[in-house]
Amino acid sequence: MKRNIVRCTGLHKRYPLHASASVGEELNVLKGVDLDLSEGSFSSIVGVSGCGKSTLLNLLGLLDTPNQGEIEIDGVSITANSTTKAQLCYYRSRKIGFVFQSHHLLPELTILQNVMIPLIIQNQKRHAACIMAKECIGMLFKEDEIASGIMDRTPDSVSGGQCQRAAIARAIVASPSLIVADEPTGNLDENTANEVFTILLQIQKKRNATIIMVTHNPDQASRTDVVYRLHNGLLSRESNLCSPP
Amino acid sequence: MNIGSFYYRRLLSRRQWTLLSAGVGISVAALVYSLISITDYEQSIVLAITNAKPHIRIFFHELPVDQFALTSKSISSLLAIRCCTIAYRIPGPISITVRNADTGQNMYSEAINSEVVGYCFKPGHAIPIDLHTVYSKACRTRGEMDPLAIMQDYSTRHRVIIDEDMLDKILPMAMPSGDNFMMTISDLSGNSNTIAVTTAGSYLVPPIGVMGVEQHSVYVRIEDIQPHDQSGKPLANCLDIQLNNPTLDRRVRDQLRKLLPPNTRIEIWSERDQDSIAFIDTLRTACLWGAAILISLSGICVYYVLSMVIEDKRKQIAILMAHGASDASIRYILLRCGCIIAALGSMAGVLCGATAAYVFHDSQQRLMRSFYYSESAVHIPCGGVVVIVSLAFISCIIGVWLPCRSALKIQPAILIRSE
Repeated sequence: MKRNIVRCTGLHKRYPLHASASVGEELNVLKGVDLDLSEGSFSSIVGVSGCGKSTLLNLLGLLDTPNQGEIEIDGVSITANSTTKAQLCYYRSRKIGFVFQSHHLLPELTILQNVMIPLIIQNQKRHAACIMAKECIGMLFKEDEIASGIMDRTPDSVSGGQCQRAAIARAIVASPSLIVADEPTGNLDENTANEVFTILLQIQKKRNATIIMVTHNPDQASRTDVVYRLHNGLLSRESNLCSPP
Repeated sequence: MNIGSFYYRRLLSRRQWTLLSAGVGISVAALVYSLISITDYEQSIVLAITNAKPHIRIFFHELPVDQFALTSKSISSLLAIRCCTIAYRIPGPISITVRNADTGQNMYSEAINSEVVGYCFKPGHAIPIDLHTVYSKACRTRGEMDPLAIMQDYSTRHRVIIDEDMLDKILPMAMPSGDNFMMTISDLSGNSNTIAVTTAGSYLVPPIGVMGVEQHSVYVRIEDIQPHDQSGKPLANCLDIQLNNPTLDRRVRDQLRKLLPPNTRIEIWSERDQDSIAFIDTLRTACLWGAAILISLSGICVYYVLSMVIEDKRKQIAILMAHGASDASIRYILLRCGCIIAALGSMAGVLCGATAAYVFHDSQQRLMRSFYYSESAVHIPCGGVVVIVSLAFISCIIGVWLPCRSALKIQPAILIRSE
C-alpha cells in the first residue's frame, strides 16, 4: 500500500473582508478541507474562479498556514501555531516544488541558474547543483534546444513553453516530496499546454512524483489519477468529471 | 553555496552598483581629503610653532606699502628687545624689484599676489647669509625646525620677502662689496617705497635684516643691533626688557602703537598660535559634522536606491521565498550588497581622497617640508580613515537594513497570486 505524502485534516482558512482588522468580518474560503494524497499520485483540483483553489494550494505548498486544521507533508505536521516561519522555509525548500501559472523565472538569471535555485537554497555546492540542474533540463528539453545553448539564455530570450518547462525543471530538481502546480498551463496555447501537461505526466511516472495541480482544463483534469472539486469551501472527489458549473 | 552569494550580484544593475559605490566613494574621498588636509595643517603649523617656542612674537597687520619704509625705520629701535620677533604683513598683491643703484640693472623682481610677511630690520645692520645658511643646516642636522622655514610654512598666503631664495638670486650678481641696491615695493594702487640695500664683503648689508625667533640670537645678537653710546650703555630710546618678562608683549605693543600708523591691528603671536589651534579645532569639528552629513547622505542614497530596487524586485524576492529562501538568506543578500557598496566606495574614496590631498593640497608646503625635515609627502591619518570607513559601512548597513525589513514583509503567496 502506498504511503500518504499529504494528509490534510479539517483545513480552515479565513481572510478578513476589509483591510482594517477592527472590522472583524471574515471570508471563509476553506471550511474544513480533508485531503489525502498518496505517493506517486497525480491529482487535480477544479472549481470556479475564487472558490479557494489557490488558497488550498498555498496551504499545501506551505506558503501560508491554515487558521484551523492540520497539514502533514511527508510525515511533518504543519499547524498555524506550532510551526515557525523558519521551519516553513526549511520544509518548503526540501519537500515542496512549485510550478506557477506564470513561469516566474528570475529574469536576471539564465535558465540553468534558475533551475539551480532550489539546490542553492538548500546550500548545495554550486558544482553539484549545476550537474543536477543540467540533468533535469536534459530531461525536459530536446537535444537540439540544449545544443542551441538554451541553458545559458535568460528567460526573456526563450519562448513561454520553454520557460514553463524550465519552471517545471526548477520544481523537480531538488526531488521534492510534493509538486504543487497552480494552473501550470493557464498562460500557454493549446499545443504548448498539452506538451507541458504531458511532461508533468512523464515526471509522475519516471520519478514517482506526487503532483497536485489546479486547472480549469477538464481534459487535463480527466487525465489525472484523482480529480477533486472545490465548492463552497469544501473539497469533494469527482467520480465523473464534467465541465465546472 | 548559499542563495545570498549566488544572487546578490544580480540584485542591482551594473549602473546601480556603480552609482551607489561612487556616491559612497565621493563622500569618503571628501572626508579623507579634509582629514588629511587638517592633519597636515595641524602637523605642519601648530607643531612647528609649538616646537619653536618663541618668547614673544608680535605681528601687525595691513601695513600699507607707503608706510613700509617709514615704519620699518621707526620700529627698528624695538629690535633691542631680546628674543622678540616683530613681523609685518603687507596686503597683496605687490611687486618687489631690486635694482642695482649704480648700474641701473634689474637684479630681482617678483610679483606676489598674496599677503607678504617680513621681519623688522635695523638700518646698517649686517646679516651674514652664510651664517644663516649654516644655522639652518645646523638646525636640520640636529633635527630641529628651521625657523625661517617655519615662517614660510605658516601659511601659503604668507611669503617672506627677504629669504634665502631672494638673496641667493641677488648675491651672485653683486660685487663683493660696495654695491648699492634699491629694493622697491609697489602695490596695485601705485604706492611704492624704496629701501636701500648695500653689500659689504660677502654680506648683504641692508637696512633689511632677518629677525627670527629666539634661536636666531645666534646671528642676531642683541649687542650687535642695540644702539649704544660711547660708554657702551644702551641708548635710552631702546627698550631694555628682560627675558620672559610677562609684561613685555604689552609694552612692546604700546610702543608699536606709538610708531605704527593708526588703525593698524597688532596681534601677539602667541595669541595667534592659540587662534591657529582654535582654528584647527573648528576645522576638526566641521570635518566631523561634514563626515556625519556626507555619510548620512550616502546612507540615505543607499536606502532610497535599495528601497526602489526592493520595490522593483518584490516578485523575485517572493519567488526565492516560495522556493524556501529564509529571512536570513534575504537579509544576507541585501546586507552583502550594502557591505560591497561600502567596501568599493571606501576603497575608491580613500584612494581618491589621498591622491587629491597629495596633488592639490599645498604641494609647495609639502615639498618644502619634505626637503627640510625629510618628512613623507603625505600624512595619512590611519585612525581617522578607519573611523570614516567604519562610518561608511555603518551608514550603508543602516541604509540596507530598513529596506531589508520591508523585503521580509513580502508574502510570497499573495504576491505571486497577484502577478
